[in-house]
Amino acid sequence: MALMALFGLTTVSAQKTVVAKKNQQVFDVVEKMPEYPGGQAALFEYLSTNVKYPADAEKQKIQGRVLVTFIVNTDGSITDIEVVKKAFPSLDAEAVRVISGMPKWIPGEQKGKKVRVKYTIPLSFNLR
Amino acid sequence: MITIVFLIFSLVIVGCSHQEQPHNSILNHAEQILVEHPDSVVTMLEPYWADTTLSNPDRALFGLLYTEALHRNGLVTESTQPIQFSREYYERNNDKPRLARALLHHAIVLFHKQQTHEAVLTMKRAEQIALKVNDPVFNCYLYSVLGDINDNVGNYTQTLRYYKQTLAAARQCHKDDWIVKALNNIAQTFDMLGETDSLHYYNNLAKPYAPKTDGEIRATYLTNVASYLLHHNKSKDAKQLLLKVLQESPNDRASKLLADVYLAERDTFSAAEQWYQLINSFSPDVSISSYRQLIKYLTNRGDTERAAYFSSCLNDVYHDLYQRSDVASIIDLQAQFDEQQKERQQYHKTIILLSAILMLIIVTIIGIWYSRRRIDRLNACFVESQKKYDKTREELTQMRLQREREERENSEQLKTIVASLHASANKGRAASDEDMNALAQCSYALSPNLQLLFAPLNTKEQNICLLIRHNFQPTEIATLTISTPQTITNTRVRLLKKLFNETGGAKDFDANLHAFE
Repeated sequence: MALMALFGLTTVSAQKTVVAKKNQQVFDVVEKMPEYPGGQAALFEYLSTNVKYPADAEKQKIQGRVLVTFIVNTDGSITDIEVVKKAFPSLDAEAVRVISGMPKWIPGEQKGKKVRVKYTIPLSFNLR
Repeated sequence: MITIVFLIFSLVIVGCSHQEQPHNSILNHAEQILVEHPDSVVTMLEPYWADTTLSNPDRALFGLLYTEALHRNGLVTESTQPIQFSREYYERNNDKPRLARALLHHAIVLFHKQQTHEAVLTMKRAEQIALKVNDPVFNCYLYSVLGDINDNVGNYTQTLRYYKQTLAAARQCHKDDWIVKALNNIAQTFDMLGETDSLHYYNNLAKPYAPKTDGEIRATYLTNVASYLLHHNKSKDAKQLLLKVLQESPNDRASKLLADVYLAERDTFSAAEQWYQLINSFSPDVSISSYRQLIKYLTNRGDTERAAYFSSCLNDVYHDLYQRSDVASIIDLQAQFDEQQKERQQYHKTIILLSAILMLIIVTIIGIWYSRRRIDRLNACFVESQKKYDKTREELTQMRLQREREERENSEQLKTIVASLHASANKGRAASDEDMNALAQCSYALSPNLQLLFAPLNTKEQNICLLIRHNFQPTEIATLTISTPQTITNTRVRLLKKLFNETGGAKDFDANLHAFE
């Protein structure tokens, strides 16, 4: 019963979020772009530390770049993670895993207001 | 019996020409969609990578399709085994279209494995076979890869040549996105060469097609346009375009150009954001340049720890680059290969020319021999004719001599007869039949026509005519023919009418008779 209640609450909360998000426009370019906490250097370090080379790609000695887009919400959370052009299943999955595990970003701003911004990151998988 | 032999022969022919075909329907489907959907092919075929149950044809096709799909998807693999198997299989089976593809993709793998020498030679072999196969879809990809490799090593003359061939092949395929990609590549190469007019020209060529494209191709087009704008100091417009590019489909060149714009604006923080993106670039030049800028930036900010870390990363890149050092060898190998090809072509041309000359000489010799034989035959005919002519001439000469002799003899005999007849006339004696016959024979021998003329006459008339012909006087004729001179005169007048159909006197008859040949 308690579980059902929790499920119900979660559903209601998700619906509210969806409605709220629908009302918010997603920007491509804004005056102040969203930023990873600590800047690009920290993002670079995060990706370097957290990206694990998938075993099958490593075995087949596959290297390449995966383009991932996501939306940085007004609260800095990351949603709508998508691989722009699918490259290799395990590389794509690893890219999505790493992006989804990122801490909250500093949201983007337009005319002094926090807005949702679409962001694209290229992730390079290089064996060397 | 003949039917059985024919059937056996047909079966042997069919048996010899049969090639094992792949049976795996997934592979066949993958081959059909490979060019348009390489990402789907990678997903479809990835589970087969470790499958050892595939038959040889399927394994060969898998190796080719999987490696090609990875490459078309913008990925790099250094796993040679599958594609090498495909290459060897198609080489054995002499499947030229697939062999060309297998060679190209094996070459790409070898190139990434830093086996540059082998890679260039394999690629050139693929190029050679492609010329025979003449598949524009494959050619478009092949020339694009060859252009990219030359672009990577800064061999821009060859780069432009291959990209222009890519463009021609793309136009043959009627693929707008491929055309734009080729035009983008050409424009980008001219940009690298600093030829902004050509950059602008190719940007304009790509412009009508560009709205139909998206993703990486459109991003490259916009980056080229931005680069042209930057050359003309329109950095504000260029910056907008570059931001758009990075939002849609980030690429190294756009990041680098944007970093340069930020640097010009003294916004080193934003420039550094781009350098962070660029340090992982697959192009060593871009990576090195970004590391250096970033190290400089961090040092200026006093972040020595990070600067030291990136310095160590930069050393690794330099180390890798030093290990490769294949730039010169790629250019040299291609030049060597092209030179060898040129020499081989010249050799072929020389052989063809020599063969033609040899044929011409043989034909000339045969012509001369034939003409000489003909001349000899004509000469023989001529000699034979000459002999015949000489013989005939000799015969004629002999005949003439005989005739002259006969005439001479007749003339002498005639003189004797005429003298005898004159003597008879002087003595008042009539001519003997013997003399008259002798006179007639001699006269007719000398003038055969005379005998014909006298044919309608009787003997006496003939005798009178013969005597007149030999200038006997009418009185002598009268004596010799036992007639009167008047009778002779009358006879002459009559014979004028009879023989010559004329009227006149006796003297006219004499004149006509003397003139007769």
